[in-house]
Amino acid sequence: MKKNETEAAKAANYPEEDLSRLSRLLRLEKVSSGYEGTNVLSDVSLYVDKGEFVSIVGSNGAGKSTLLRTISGTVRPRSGEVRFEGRPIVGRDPADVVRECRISHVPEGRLLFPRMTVYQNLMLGAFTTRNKKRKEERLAYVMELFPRLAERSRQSAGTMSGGEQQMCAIARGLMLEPRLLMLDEPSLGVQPNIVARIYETLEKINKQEGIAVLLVEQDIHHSLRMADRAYVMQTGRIAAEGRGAELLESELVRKAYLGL
Amino acid sequence: MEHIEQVLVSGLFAGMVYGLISIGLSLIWGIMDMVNFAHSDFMMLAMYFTYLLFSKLGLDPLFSLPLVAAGMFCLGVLTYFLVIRHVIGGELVQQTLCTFGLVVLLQSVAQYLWTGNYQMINEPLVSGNIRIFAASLSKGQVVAGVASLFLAGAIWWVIQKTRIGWALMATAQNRYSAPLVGIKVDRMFALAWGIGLASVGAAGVFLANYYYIYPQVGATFQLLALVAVALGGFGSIPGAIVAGIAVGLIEALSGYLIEPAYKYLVVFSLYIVVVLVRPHGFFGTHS
Ligand SMILES: Nc1ncnc2c1ncn2[C@@H]1O[C@H](COP(=O)(O)OP(=O)(O)OP(=O)(O)O)[C@@H](O)[C@H]1O
Ligand SMILES: [Mg+2]
Repeated sequence: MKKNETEAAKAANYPEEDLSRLSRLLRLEKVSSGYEGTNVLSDVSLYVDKGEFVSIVGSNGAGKSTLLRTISGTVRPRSGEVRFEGRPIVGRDPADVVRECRISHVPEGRLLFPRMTVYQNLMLGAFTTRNKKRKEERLAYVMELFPRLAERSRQSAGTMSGGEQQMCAIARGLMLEPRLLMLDEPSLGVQPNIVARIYETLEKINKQEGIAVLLVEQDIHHSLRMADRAYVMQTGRIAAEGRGAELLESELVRKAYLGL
Repeated sequence: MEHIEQVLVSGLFAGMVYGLISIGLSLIWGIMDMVNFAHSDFMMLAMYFTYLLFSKLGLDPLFSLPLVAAGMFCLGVLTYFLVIRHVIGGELVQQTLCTFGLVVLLQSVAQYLWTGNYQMINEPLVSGNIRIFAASLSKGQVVAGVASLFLAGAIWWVIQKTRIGWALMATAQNRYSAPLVGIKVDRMFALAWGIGLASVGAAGVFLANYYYIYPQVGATFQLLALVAVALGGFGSIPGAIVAGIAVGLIEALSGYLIEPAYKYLVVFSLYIVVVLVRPHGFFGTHS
C-alpha cells in the first residue's frame, strides 16, 4: 500500500520534496499548540523516518513535553498538520492513535498505574492487542530486555524505585510493539549506571527491531551522540536541527542547554 | 422483643444488600472522583420498574431481574453521556449540584408518574418465611442478601480478572496515562456508570420483593451506602461489600441494644469517627 503510493507518486512525476514526505514515518508541519490560555509551540516542523533515532533537546519549559503530547494527541494543536505514514492524525482520539498508528508515548514522570502490579502494567501496555499468546510472547521479550522487571512482576508498580519504575514505563510502552517510541526524559531521577543501561536498551531496540525512537532528554551529551538526527528547541520553536554529533559541537546547543 | 440471633441474622442479610448498593457508588467514586448522590434514587427507579413489570405484565421480580438490570445499565450509560460528561473536570460544587439535581429530578418524576403512595409487590414467587438458626426471616430478604453478595462478588471478579476490568482500574489510577495505552477514558467512565446503575438496579429488584416502594425510598439507602463506601475505602469493591455488611450489622445491633430510633445515629457517629481516624477507610488505597 505504502509502496504503491510512492510508486504512483514517482510515476506522476511529483517533485522530490513530496516523495520524501510520503515515505516519512512522522511529520509535523507548522504545528502550533498549547494549553488553555497559553501558546507553547509555534510553527514546529519536524520529521522522523522509519527506523530513525531522533533526539530533541532544549531547556526547561521549551515545550518538549508539549510536543510529544501534541503528537500522541493528548494535547490538541491549534494549527498545523501532524501526519503518520502520510495520514493526518490531528484531532484523533489519543487511544485511536495508539491503536492504529502504534505510537507509544512514555510520558514524563512515568505515569504508571501505581496500585497495579508490574505484570498488570505491562499487560495493559498491550491493551490494544487482543491475541493472548502474542501478548505473552511480547511480555517475554520485554522481560528479557529488562530482567529486573521479571523479578518484580508481582510488586505494585508504585512501590518500586525510580529506576525500576522508569524501566517499567519503557517496557509498558514497548508492549504495544510500537512503530514509533517516544520517550520523555527517561533519565529523570534515575542513577547514572541505570541510565546507561536504559540507553543501551534503547539503542538495541532501535537497531534490532527497527523501531523509530523520538527521545526527549536533558542530558544532551548522551542523547545527541546516540541520535541519527536531532532538534534543538527554544521557547516553543525549533532553533536548530542536524546530525546529533554535529549539533553537539554547535554554539547554539551550548546556549540552549545552558538556557542562555 | 426480638432476640439477638434474629437481630444479627437480619442485620447480616440487610448488610449484603447494602454491599451491592455500595459497590456501584464506590466504583464511580473511585474511577471518576465523583460522588453520585442520586445513586439510590436510581435504585428507587429500578424498584418502580420492577413493580410495574409485576403489576402490568405479571412478571415476577425473579424474572424481571435481567431486564431491569440491563435497562439500568443503559440508563447509566445514557446519564453519563447526557449529563455527567459535561461536568467532568469541573468544580466539585458543579459536580455535586449536578448529581443533586438528578436526585430532585428522579424523585419528582416518580412522584408525578406514580404518586407518593406506598406500593408493594403482593405475593411474589419468593414469599413466606424461613428459619435460620433461631431467627425467622422472610425468604425475600434471604434471597436478596445471597443474590446481592453473589452479584457483588461477580462484579469484583470481572474487575480483577478481565481485560476490561483492568482498563477500569487503570483509568481509576491514572486517567492521563490510560489513553497512552489505548484505553478510551470516556468509555470507561460510561461503563462505570452502566455497571454502577445496573448493580444498584439489581439491588432495587431484590428489595422490591419485600420492601415498600415510594419516591423517597432511596434516601436512607443513599446515606448508608455513603457510610459503607467511606468505611470500606473510596473505590474499593471488596471494601464496600464488607463495609456494607458491617453497616447492616451495626444498624441492627444498635437498634436492638439502644433504641430503634437511634440506630442511624450510631451508624453515622461511627462514620464520623472512622473518617477522623482512618480517612481512607479500612480497605482504602485512595489518597
Ligand atoms: N498542563 C499544562 N497546562 C498549562 N500549561 C502547561 C501545562 N504543561 C506545560 N505547560 C506550560 O507549557 C510550557 C512548556 O512546558 P513543557 O512541559 O512542554 O516544557 P518542557 O520542555 O518539557 O520542559 P521540561 O524540560 O521542564 O520538562 C511551560 O511554560 C509550561 O508551564
Ligand atoms: Mg518536559
